[in-house]
Amino acid sequence: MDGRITLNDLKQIPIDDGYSLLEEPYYLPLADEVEMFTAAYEARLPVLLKGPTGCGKTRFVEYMAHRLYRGADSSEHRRGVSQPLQTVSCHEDLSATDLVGRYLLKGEETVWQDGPLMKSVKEGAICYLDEIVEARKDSTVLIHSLTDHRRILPVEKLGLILDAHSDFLLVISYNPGYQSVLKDLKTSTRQRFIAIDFDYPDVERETDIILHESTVEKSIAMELATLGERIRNLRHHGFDEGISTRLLVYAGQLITRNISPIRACDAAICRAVSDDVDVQRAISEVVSTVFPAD
Amino acid sequence: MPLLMSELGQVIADLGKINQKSAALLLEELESIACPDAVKLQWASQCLNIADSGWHAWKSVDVFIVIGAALCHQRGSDELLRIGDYACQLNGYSFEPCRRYFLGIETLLGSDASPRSWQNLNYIEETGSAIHEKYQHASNLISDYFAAAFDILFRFSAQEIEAWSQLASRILLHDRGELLRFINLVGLPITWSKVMDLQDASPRAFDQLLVTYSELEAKYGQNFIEDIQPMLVAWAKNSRPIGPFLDELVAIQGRTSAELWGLLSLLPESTDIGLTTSMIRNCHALPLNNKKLVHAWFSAGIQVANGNYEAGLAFFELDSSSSIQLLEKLKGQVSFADCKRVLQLYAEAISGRKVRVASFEELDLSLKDQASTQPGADDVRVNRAARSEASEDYRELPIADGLSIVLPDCISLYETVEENFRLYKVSLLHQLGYFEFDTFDQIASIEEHICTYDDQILARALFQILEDARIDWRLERKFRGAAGDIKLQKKYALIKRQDDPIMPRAQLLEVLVRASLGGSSENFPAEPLRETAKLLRMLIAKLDSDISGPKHTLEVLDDCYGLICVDDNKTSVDGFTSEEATFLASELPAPVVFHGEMDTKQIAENMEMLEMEEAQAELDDDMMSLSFPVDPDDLDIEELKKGDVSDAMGMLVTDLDAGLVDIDQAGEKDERKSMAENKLAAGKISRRIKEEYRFLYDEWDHIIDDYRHRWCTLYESRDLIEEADYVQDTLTEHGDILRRVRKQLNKLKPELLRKVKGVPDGDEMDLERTIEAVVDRKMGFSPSENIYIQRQRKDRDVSALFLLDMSASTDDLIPDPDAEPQFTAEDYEDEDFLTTFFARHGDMQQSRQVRGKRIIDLEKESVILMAEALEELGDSYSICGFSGYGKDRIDYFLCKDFKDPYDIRAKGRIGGLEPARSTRMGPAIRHATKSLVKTESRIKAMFILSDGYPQDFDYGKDRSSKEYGVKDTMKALAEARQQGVQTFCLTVDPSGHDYLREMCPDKQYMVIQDITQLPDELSKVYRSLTG
Repeated sequence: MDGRITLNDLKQIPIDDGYSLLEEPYYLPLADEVEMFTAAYEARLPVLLKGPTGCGKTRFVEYMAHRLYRGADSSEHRRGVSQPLQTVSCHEDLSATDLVGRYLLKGEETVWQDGPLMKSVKEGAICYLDEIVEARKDSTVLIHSLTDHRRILPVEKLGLILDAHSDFLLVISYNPGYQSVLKDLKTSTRQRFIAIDFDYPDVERETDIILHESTVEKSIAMELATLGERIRNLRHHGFDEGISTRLLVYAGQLITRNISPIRACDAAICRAVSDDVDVQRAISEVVSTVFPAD
Repeated sequence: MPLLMSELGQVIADLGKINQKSAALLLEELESIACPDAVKLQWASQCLNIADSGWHAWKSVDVFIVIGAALCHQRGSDELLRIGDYACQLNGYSFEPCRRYFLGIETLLGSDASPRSWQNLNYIEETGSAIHEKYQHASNLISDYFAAAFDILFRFSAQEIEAWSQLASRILLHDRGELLRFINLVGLPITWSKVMDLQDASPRAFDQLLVTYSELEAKYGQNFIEDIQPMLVAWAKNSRPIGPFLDELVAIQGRTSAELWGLLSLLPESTDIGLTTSMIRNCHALPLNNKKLVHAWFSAGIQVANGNYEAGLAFFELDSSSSIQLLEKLKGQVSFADCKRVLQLYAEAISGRKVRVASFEELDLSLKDQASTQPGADDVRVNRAARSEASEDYRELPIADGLSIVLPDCISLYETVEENFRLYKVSLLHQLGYFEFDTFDQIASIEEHICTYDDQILARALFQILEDARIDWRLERKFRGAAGDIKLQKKYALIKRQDDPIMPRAQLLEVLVRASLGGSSENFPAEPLRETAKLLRMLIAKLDSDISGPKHTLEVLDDCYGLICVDDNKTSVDGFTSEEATFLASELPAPVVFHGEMDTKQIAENMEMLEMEEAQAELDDDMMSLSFPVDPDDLDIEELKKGDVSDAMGMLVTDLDAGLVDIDQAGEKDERKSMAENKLAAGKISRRIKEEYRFLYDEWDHIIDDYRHRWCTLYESRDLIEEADYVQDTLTEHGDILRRVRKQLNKLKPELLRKVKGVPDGDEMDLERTIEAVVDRKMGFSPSENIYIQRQRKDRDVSALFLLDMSASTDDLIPDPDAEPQFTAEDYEDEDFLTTFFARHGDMQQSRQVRGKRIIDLEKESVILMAEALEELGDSYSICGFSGYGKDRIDYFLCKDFKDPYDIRAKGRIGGLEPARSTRMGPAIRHATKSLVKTESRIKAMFILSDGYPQDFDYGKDRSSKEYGVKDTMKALAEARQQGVQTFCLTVDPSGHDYLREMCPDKQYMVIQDITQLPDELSKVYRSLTG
């Protein structure tokens, strides 16, 4: 490292306009997760969100980001953060470079590009690493120094160690249901977070969510929620996750666009959750138990 | 003339010497008879002749004397003398034939018999003579003949009489028994001339008809027999025995002659009798009222039969898969077996609990297994028989007992599969409604409440009606989709309830049932019950709400009970005996089919038992940790026997001895556990069917070129006498082989390719890393060389199943080429006894040393060595043994399943595999394939270790032929291959090449010459198959 690029140079690199969270995302609290998250944020404790797919983890982080960065009580600085939430969906090829940043070739030059984690660290935003266990080992180790008292991000390529902004918070999500034992979260990683458990909402609250998200009639929303509740009884039959609230919302959205409930559920739910013909048929039967034929 | 008179006097005097009374009678009659003296003398002489012919012969003479005058008067003296002459020849060994003949003549005289009858007399006389000639000593037969013959003479036309006589004379040439059967049929209104056609065609067929005639006539009537006569004649002409067909007709239950004739009349004339018999035998499964359907089905069957007779037979026997599938398709029938998983999943989804959904067929099989040990089984079967009356197309009523739901085996009430399935669904949903709407949760208090009533039968009936109504209404309100289906079933059920009951109580209950089904006829019942009925309707309607619970049902029950009891007491019905009235008074409304039956008492017991079982499961968990470390050597067998406790308990007792457990605490557990066990032992049906170890498999029949549907019953079990030391002994003994096997398997490379990125050399470049390297170079850093992607074999995804033949022949000793033969055939017998003896006492080691190695030992040792090596390799594997006796009993022992740990229990079970019975390979392979497919591994391999060709006593019709078994096994192996399972057969049978070449696809077999090489060979094969 010969110091050809300085931190000042980096600061001049414009931060892209993007997801600025001006609108408050809809989120219906199920327990004390909002208070818990707020408290964690205040103490700058990294948060681990556990729960099945489609139960609202991402929406919750968005909601909290809005609340903390765009809410009435937000500090001046936080309101000024252009992208309060940096979301990274982790995959098996996701490396530390992808998170931190890399040099890119631009013509004959090389240009440094911040990764989402570095952006958050610098700007003081929330960085949300979705399905963290999917990522490569080097990226999980990278977050260790950010999630203890040090709150630093070593940037190897730049030969720097960045202090995290005081508003920075790392949130990761983890789905214990379908990930294999091999891909379990390392204890050393896991023990750096406070964990908030998520599960699917009960029928009443799921009704409210479907109602809000799909603007379907209340009776239909309730039936969709009942359907979800019943089909979730079939977890362990080829789909360990159960059926997500998201799929129920999709079905609701199809219904509002004049697709018959049975057909909408067939497309959004039956075919989506399992490839097992018997399971599909059983789900279809549950659907036709809940919704009348056209 | 005087000479004549003196001769006559002499004759009378001679007769007097034989019997005074007869002589006096003759003297008297001679005076009244109007004929010439010469005739009189001749007649008297005939009488004397007859009387003189034997013991008590005067008895027949007396009849002759009595009819003489009348006979002479009506038919003339010539006829009198002719009859006398004829009768004379009948005499001899007994007077009875002659007397019967005269009695017949007497009846003829006494009646208004037409002259034609007299003309027809010669037919029966001729046959009578013939019978007499052939069976002179069989006086009873001849007497019976005449009795029958005169009966015929009266009732039938000349043509029929002639036919009958001819038949009799023909039959008498064959067999006396047949003749007797023929004669005994005389009372029946048979058209003899028609029957004669059959006799013409084949006397044997005719006799077969005679044998069953009276039963057939009683069952189906004369017309039916006449209708089928042409078919019988046609078959008889082709020399086919008609006996089995007729026997089947006699044996059929519950079919009318019209239904059967409706079926038979559809058959083309040339239909083979064997096929027809098979069809008749199975006609209970055919919808005989739907002629079009039956026609389509048997037309297909006949087509099959034209190509292959055996296949046709299997078709009409409803054995072959194609036949059953076609019939089901035509009927729109839905079988429980076909939709079991969907219904099971549906039940789980709706109820959110592990409710077991079973069919009555499964229940029956389960009962069969346990009938000997469970006293209640017969009752259940009786109840089932009673229920089966319920409906033609829906033979069983659904039952829920709190733990499981039992549904009919099949439904064909409606024409289409869709509609029939819906009925299944609604039946199931209704039963699930008991869970959904708290019936079962509150069953204890419900049962308690019902017990407070004086008339519990009424209270229970009322509760069921009200609760069923409530459940339906709640379901309709909660599930809009199901509401339509439920309403449809209600409508159908209502239509079916046409018959109005007679007694007031039954009428009022019926009112409630109909109200629950949405029926509200004002005309039923008649006055004076109308007002009460109205009140009842209002009461039951209270349950039609969103919030009604069992509590509301009980409230309504209280009110309804009161109303019904009041009316029951004040109203009486005239016109019945007291017995009838009592019977009618206890009459309960017919059940609604889709509602099924509910036995609150049993459900309450089951729920209690479930709780106890859960408590016991917890207890078992506690005890597992205690019992595990116990050394079996410490077990005091005598003590255990005295206590009559299970093995687990035995360990607990040993724990006590060893001072590991606090005595008081253990005592308490002991008591709790025994209590729970006793309760469980007295368990009801549901507990029994919970254990599912039974599987039905099709079997391939190469003769019919089709599968025999659900032909074999396989029982999967882990119930083996465990021999814990076997594995350790094997390992100690074969340490060197184990090393070799390990070495073999260690050569196995992981076969799964995985992309490894960031390596210095590889098949392709990793673009990202390459760019990074370029950037680094530009930046002046030293770039990384690890920019390639390589495909490396990293993982193994293998499941292997070892299937061990446990047939009796594996008990044979392994021939040792160096040793002198030591055992004779008798020794083997004794050795078997010793083996069993030692095995039972868990001391196989001793027996092995005593007797040398058997084939089964080698099989076991081979898999033990493999298991040890595989544990290291990490491949998933399962070890099973199979044996059996007949198609209905194939035992499949699961020593270690894929997911099971290779622990002391699994090892003990492998050690406990012992020679049993036959080698029916097909079902075992199919079952093994099924479990392999479930693993979803990429490589699935099955290794079959056997000592001979597949064989069982009913493996194919021809016991001496190996072909059936070989072909079925071949098919089973091919099926396995189709499902991605690689199979390999290892046999120690030196003649194995002959059949394995045909049986195993792609030559995947090995005949092991030196049997001791089996472990080595097995590991090599394993390597080649999974490497």
